[in-house]
Amino acid sequence: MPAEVSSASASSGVRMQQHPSERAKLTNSQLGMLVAIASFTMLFGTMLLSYLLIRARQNVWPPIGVEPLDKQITTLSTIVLLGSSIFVHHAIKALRNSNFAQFKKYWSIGTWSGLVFLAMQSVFVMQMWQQGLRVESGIFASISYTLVVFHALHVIVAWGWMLAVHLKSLAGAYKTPTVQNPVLASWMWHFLDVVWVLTCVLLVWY
Amino acid sequence: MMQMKTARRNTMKTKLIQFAIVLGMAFSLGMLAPGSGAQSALQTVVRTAIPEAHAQTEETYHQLDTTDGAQTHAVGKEANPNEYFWNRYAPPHSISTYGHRIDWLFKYTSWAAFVFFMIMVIALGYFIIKYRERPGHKAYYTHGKSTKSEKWAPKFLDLAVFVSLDLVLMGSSYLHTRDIMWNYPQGEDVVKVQIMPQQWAWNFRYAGKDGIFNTPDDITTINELRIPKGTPVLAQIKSKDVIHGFMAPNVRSQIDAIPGLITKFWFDATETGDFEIACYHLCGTAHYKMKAFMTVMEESDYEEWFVESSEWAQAAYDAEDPSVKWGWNWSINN
Amino acid sequence: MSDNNQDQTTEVKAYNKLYSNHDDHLHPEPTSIWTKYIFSFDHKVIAKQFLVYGLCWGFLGALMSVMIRWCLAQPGVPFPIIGQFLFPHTGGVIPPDWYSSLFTMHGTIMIFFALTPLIIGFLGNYAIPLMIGARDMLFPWLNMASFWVFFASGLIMLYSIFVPMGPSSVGWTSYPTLAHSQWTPGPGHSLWLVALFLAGVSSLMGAINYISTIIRLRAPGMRWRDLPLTLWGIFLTSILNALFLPVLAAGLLLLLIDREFGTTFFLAASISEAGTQGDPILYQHLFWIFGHPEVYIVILPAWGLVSDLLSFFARKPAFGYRATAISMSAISVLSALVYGHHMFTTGLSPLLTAAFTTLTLLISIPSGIFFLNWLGTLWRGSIRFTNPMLFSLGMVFTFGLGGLTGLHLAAVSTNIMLHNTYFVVGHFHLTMAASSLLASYAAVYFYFPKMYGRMMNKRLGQAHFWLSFVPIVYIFVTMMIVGYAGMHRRTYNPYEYNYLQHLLALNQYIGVAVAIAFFAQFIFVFNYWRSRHHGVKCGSNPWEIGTLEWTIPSPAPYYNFKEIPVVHNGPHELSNPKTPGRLFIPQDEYVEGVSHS
Repeated sequence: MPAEVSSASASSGVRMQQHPSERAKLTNSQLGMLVAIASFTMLFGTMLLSYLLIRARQNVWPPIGVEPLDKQITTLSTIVLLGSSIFVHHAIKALRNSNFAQFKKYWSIGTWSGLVFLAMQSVFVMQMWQQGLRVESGIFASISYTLVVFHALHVIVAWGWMLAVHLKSLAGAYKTPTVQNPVLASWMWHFLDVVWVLTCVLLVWY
Repeated sequence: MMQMKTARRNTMKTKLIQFAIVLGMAFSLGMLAPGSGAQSALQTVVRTAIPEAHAQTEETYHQLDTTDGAQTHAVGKEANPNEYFWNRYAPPHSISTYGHRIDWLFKYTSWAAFVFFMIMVIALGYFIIKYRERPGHKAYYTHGKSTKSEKWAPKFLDLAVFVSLDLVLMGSSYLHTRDIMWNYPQGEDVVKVQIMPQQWAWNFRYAGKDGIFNTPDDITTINELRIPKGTPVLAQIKSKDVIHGFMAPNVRSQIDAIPGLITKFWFDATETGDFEIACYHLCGTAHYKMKAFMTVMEESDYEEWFVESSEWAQAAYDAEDPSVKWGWNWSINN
Repeated sequence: MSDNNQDQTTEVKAYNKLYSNHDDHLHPEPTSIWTKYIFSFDHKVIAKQFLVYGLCWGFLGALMSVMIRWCLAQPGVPFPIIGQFLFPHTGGVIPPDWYSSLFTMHGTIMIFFALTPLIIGFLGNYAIPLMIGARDMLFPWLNMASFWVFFASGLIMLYSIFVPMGPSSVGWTSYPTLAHSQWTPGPGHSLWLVALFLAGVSSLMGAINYISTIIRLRAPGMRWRDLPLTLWGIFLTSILNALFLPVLAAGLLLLLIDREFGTTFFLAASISEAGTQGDPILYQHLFWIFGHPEVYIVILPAWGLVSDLLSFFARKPAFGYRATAISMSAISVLSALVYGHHMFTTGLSPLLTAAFTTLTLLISIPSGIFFLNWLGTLWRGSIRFTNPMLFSLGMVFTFGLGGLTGLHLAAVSTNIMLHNTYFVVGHFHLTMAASSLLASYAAVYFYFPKMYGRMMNKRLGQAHFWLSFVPIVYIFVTMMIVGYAGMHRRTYNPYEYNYLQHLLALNQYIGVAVAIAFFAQFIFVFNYWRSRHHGVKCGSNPWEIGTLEWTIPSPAPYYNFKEIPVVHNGPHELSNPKTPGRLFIPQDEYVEGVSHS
């Protein structure tokens, strides 16, 4: 950084000298993440709304000859994902209190239960396939496969992020309570959790 | 920091440039003015400058005309170069009972918009000339200093636009939807037609003498819609493949034809003659020549044609051919 | 809290790092050609990359429009010079299937690959940090990534032109069921969908950056009401982008899997197997929920910019700054609620039709307010006819004209008659293409001195303006005339119809005007290229205005501001009577009786 560049002088008496207790609620990266999540909300919201519009017009659902989606496995996977989110939430709380050991532990549980969720989703999709439901089998299949797989793809990417945070935490990279990366990853994870709950309720139970 | 800067002297050169600018603007507007000499002047220039191209174009677009074998119908309104500009380029004359309402609204909107447009142009032109930078002339600083009338002038003008234009359009739209769009003709004396466009032709179906669709006596035509004068026509439209658009310019109404969904519209023709039907919604490679003809006949002629065609259709009906059963159940709730 | 100054400074430093931080957004000075010009984090370089890329695509889109107009003016005649090479099998005549691809790609390219990078990529990236007194965007890496994702999407779009069965040919709106593989086979349209999806991702990344930067990196003392209106426009655009691009993404994605994987989201029951029951109209809803905000996305920065430029070159504050900002915000909110006016002919319910008509007409109220504020800015000003001012005035004219013609299309009765005719084409080109393009040019002429330390040639700029503006107005007004006469759009040879044959003359005149406007753009390209090294040198503030970017040297150093400024004034402190003799007051200069703090 060139020598002549400096920050605003201390005599300016404005924002930069604010006491941390008066600070904004969101850090910079959290603000960016919030905008991103708003975008993803619109994306999944559009998908779900489109599904609802199609579904609400049908008198018979699933259509005749099609088996309804498995309620058991989806309920189980929802519980697993919710559980994973709870652990992640507690991990972040621990992080904020500088309890790094607990953070590592809870984050690890959260990450691996996330993998269990993905595994259960794969079983679910395989079940659909084994029941004879193919992607091109009509609107019911279109919607079911699309919603589940689309969500799962996002979970895979988010899980990759979770795993990266997990590995970094094991390597001891997180030393201060204000690190941003885990917090952002957790937000994405919670968001996808909420999306899944909605999807599950609307797709499997409606 | 530069605080003092001598303004450009208002030399002859500057004056000339400003004059040229105003002239340019006036010329541009003049090009658009109704029946102005500028339009025909340009026409002459184009024809003189590129006579070859013009002749070639005349010839080549006839080469492209692929409707060989089809009967030539007298359609629409031909352009008469001696005619008043806005009549020459008006839409084909309206033969429907409600076309004049739409035409009136368009003209009203255009005139009102033109008035506001001229206000804008005059204001722009006046401000540009009167408030151009020159020595001794200072800008008027408005921060927090605007007088009440200054603040309210734009709001008042905006309100004027809203009342004179928007409200009229809103009211007119509401009336149009109530009295025309969803005011489907009821009763016995209505000609019911099912229209199924496909890539790239128009199929029309009439219920035949029995009044029920999809029966052996249904009259089906391709690219030919025959209707009686003075009787409302109610059409249900569904596409066979992709989205098409039914447009009969003389009727001033359009409707999309969507696969899997039935849309409907109605009109009432007041003149006999042959009129063109176009597809206005992009539907593939031959979209540009997907045309049909609407023939409006006298009542008696239509009756004659109808009965004769219905009987012929009944006789020629082939129960084995699935493609003749493209019609659908006509129900009021469609 | 410690009284120890040292601790406080550390605490404050840590706070700044997370919550605002002007310093850490300074990356070390780039040295190699790769980090300086290609993979640069510097928002100014990224802005130039968007500018060049956008202009290249704009050229391609304009060439396509010339070809389209050629077909309409000279049907059956081979396209000159390059026709023989492009279409050897027809002797150079543009065939109907390629015509469909031409208007499809023209629309797509101009909106997503020309206007968006110019008015959002270039203007947003260049202006935001400079106007708010920051050293760079809040997320410089994201900024760079957004350009390269965009670059990649352009490559895919370019590639789609050369695939078997040709590029996309279903219109830029890409309605099913024509867009399904059953009726439009081949990879062209699928690649189109992928390219657009990626372009959307790039814009989304940009939107995140712009929103966060404007919220967080404003210099101390810069309140929201001290923001130049350009930034209001860009801020609102970014919000619309962030919220509605995902809706497009969903629509495109569903159409893509309909094409590639056999799903039936937009296929209706009667033409596929029983139980399919998708809905083609669903796509139209999804598309236009994005599509209508999109046109506002493309014009909002232009509105903001012109509001500022009119003020700067009329040497007085923008008239009704607050009303303009509020109007632009109101329009942004309303923009998503009016989308149904694109669908009046699809058999929407009476309630929906009435609602959309009413809302569309309501949107003219805020539009009128800020438009009239533009006139109010000019009124009693002291107008300097610089090149940016010329283009701004042109934009005022084209937008006023185009906006008024929107009224014909807002009312459902006239809309039904004008739907899919050239009237619509004329209207949206005037409001979107002409206005946004003129504003983009204004932005380039305006920021050129800051980018290169030299001015663009004034005479060439004037020539460029007149040779673009007059033909452009002529072209689109004439289009509205032929549209009213019944000429529908996307038609390869309208003279098949007898009722349209007399329109050949007008179409020919449009062709002449298109040729003039097309070649006039080369004046601009020449001017830009030459002025970079041979333009008249200028100082830090050739326009004599007060916004923060003009307080630093020209060309702007890579770190922008040596010291982060503290803002005391609004952006339009021009000809203030409290400071007679001073043409302007910079935003970071404290003047007793004028400054707010």
